[in-house]
Amino acid sequence: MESQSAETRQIVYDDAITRAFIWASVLFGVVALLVGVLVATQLVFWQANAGISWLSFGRLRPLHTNAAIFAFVGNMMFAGIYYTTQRLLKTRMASDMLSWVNFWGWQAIIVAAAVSLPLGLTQSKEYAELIWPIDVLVAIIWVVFAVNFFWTLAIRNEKNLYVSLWFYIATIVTIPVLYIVNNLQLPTSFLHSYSIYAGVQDALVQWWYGHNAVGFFLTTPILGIMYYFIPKAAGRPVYSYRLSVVHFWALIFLYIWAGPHHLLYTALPNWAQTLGMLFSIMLWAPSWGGMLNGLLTLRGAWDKLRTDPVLKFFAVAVTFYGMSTFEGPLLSIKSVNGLAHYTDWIIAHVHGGTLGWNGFMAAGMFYWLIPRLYRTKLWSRQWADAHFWTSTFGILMYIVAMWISGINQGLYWRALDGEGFLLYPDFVETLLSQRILYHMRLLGGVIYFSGLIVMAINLIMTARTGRAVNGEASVVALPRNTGPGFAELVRSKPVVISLLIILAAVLVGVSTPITAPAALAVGVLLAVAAIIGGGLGGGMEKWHSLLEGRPLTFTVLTLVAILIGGVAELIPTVVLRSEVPDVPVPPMSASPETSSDAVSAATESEYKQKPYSPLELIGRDIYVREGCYNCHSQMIRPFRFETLRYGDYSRAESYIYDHPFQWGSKRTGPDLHRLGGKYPNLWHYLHMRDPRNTSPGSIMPEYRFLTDKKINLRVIEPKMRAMKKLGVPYSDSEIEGGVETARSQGALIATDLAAQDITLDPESELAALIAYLQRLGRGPQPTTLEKAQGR
Amino acid sequence: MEVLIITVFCSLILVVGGLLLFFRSIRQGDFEHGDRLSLLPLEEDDNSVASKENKGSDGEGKGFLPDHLST
Ligand code: HEC
Repeated sequence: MESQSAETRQIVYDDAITRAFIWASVLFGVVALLVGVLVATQLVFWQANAGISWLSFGRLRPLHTNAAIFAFVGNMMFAGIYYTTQRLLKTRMASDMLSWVNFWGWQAIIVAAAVSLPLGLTQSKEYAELIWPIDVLVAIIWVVFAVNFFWTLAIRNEKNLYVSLWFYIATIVTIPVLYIVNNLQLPTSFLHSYSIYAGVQDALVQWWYGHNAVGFFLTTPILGIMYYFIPKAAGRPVYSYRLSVVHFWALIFLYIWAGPHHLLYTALPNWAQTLGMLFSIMLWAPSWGGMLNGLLTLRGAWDKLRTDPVLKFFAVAVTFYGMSTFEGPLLSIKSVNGLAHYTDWIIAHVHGGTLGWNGFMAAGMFYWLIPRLYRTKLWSRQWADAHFWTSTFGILMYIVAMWISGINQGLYWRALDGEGFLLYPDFVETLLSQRILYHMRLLGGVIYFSGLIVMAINLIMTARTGRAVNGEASVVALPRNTGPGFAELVRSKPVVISLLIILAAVLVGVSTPITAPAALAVGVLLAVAAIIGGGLGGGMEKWHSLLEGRPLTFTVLTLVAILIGGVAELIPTVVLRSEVPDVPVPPMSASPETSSDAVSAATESEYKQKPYSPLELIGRDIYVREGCYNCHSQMIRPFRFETLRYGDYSRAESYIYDHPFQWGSKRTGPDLHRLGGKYPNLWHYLHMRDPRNTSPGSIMPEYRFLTDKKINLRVIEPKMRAMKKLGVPYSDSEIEGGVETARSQGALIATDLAAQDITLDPESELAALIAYLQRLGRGPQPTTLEKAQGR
Repeated sequence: MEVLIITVFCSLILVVGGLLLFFRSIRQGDFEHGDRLSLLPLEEDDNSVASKENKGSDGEGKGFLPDHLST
């Protein structure tokens, strides 16, 4: 990094960090897909979990999704961002140390996830399953990454920002906002917490996050990478720079509003659903603009597609981007969604995005980068071709199988006979009809996976024939305004005081009526100190000059400040409002025709939503731990074919104590929202231990281990206290007697089973789970013998 | 539905931030430099093999010259 003159400098890029992220991505890509193959196997051979709890479907599916998104694509994204940012800004990263903290921190998060998810440590919010200590680590590492990135922007030697950098900025700013808001939770122990939101609220934040994670983690950074590497590999500039700019701004203005399309026909207010649908459809235009821009960049280079593996991968990746971004808006149209939601069609959609768009972009980028980063040539073009053809074939097979299976499911579920009743009332019928397609999906997955292995070998062999080299460039240094450096800026009075004011505002937001005035007073004092201090220390000009020339940093800092302050102010309204629970919930009825209107004033109080009993609460946590939501929904949509099958449609009020919500997004098994009372305890006992016993043809895993595992009675009190803090009206005596109540309710279930010659430990996890399942969709159940007999 | 307030608030701030950055980008003249900027990704590292030997995009072969022109 010596400067030859004041004007030009020789720069050595940090490419070691890119290499590290690439290898991590390859490694975790293999792991993620291997787990995917395993869970796909379990859906054809239920025995494939070997009866081991931490290999069961509900625990491994989150591992698969998290590994694919955050480990495989995440590491690939970092590799691409580190490589291209340095070149587009014509400077080395600002801090090697921060780069490596980013790298090792991210891998630590992945390893922690890989251990905790199979152990059943989960929040059960899709793609946000990680428990709170890991969430904290994610936030810290992301800040490290952001600081490094913006610091590098500040020392850049290229004044104007190429469009890729804009895509990266959008990612870096948006992801933490989504992640933090969705992950606000109240810990009950080091490994467990409850979401501060309940029911509909929780669902809404979750899918606001979930949708935008797709938008700002799997899409924008990869588009930035696309806009760098496709021109690079094609040897010609992007087809239309103007279009790429329109693509970017339109995408970020529209994306953030489309989240509710995950919740169509649910208990979410209608206007929010319609808004989500409209914005989703609007998204189609910029997405296709981007796709065409990428493809047209290859104009005049199409012949190279025959020989150049890199371009082949990019061309297919961009095609999949186009396909997914067409399918997405299509699936957001309410009537299409009514058919497709909860089915395998969605599985086809996400795999087209992740394996097709992200996976092929990753492969193309790796094949382009590895030879250069090791100053050699690709070990084998034939192998790269083999990878290309196997993976293309594999993904197509996968997607086609899931499309057919999804539409098939949708049609089976809604089919009515001449009299208007369900044609296929038995859920297993649908399962049997799609068995062959599940085999086909597995095969497609295995084929795609084998392509990835071929790539891994090819890349390793390539690296072995070369040696690691870091790129160099001589650049013309950009004249810099001689303001304070980054460290100075962070320590400067204006920034420190602003941060303190934000802190005070946060305190006001989260505090009780007693501490609020105190925090407010501190805030006022700070403000006064700031004015006096500012006046003494050279006046407001100094404040201004500090931030002048850094509009980007300034904007981002201001946004962060406003967000933190705003969210802190808003949180209490969310938590406190759920303390107003007394909304009548109509009784469950087998025939939907006689439902809601029939609730007379006298019976109304009976159906007010009541909190879960201690044992039900513990059972619910087991439901969460086992990831039942990965196969079961708890949200009945207002269609006749749904109410016929599952009972009265779901209403928002019935979820007010559900921290976190368990609506699910996929019906591999039936909906469970109104399960309570549908079967006797005995049925559940037999079914949970061996689903094939009660439901021949079922693909649900066995849960025998729940019989032997005892519940931990000591967690009952802290858990109930946490729930109370979140607005669930448990009285102090209820909390103190929690253990006793749980015991007696467990004993009731055990006695009931004993009458049928079955011994179940009343303190077993299965007893708790049955208690929860029997409570679903109904009012409080008896917890003591007297109450049971009183009924 | 109180949580709508939070998500809408955050979304609005992000969009407003996007607007600010958009105007900043205009003031900086990013869009007038499109022709130059679009060539940025094509610059090679000084020490890259491709910059000297005109390699294909996978580091192998004859790069962008038609077969009969390259050796
Ligand atoms: C691999 C997906 C899968 C997982 C994971 C799963 N189930 Fe199931 N479940 C099914 C399928 C398929 C059926 C339908 C066939 C049957 O009755 O077994 C089903 C049926 C059920 C039923 C009967 C519903 C009815 O109305 O007939 C209950 C109750 C149930 N599951 C509870 C659970 C619980 C509790 C868990 C978590 C501990 C769980 N399931 C995990 C797939 C799954």
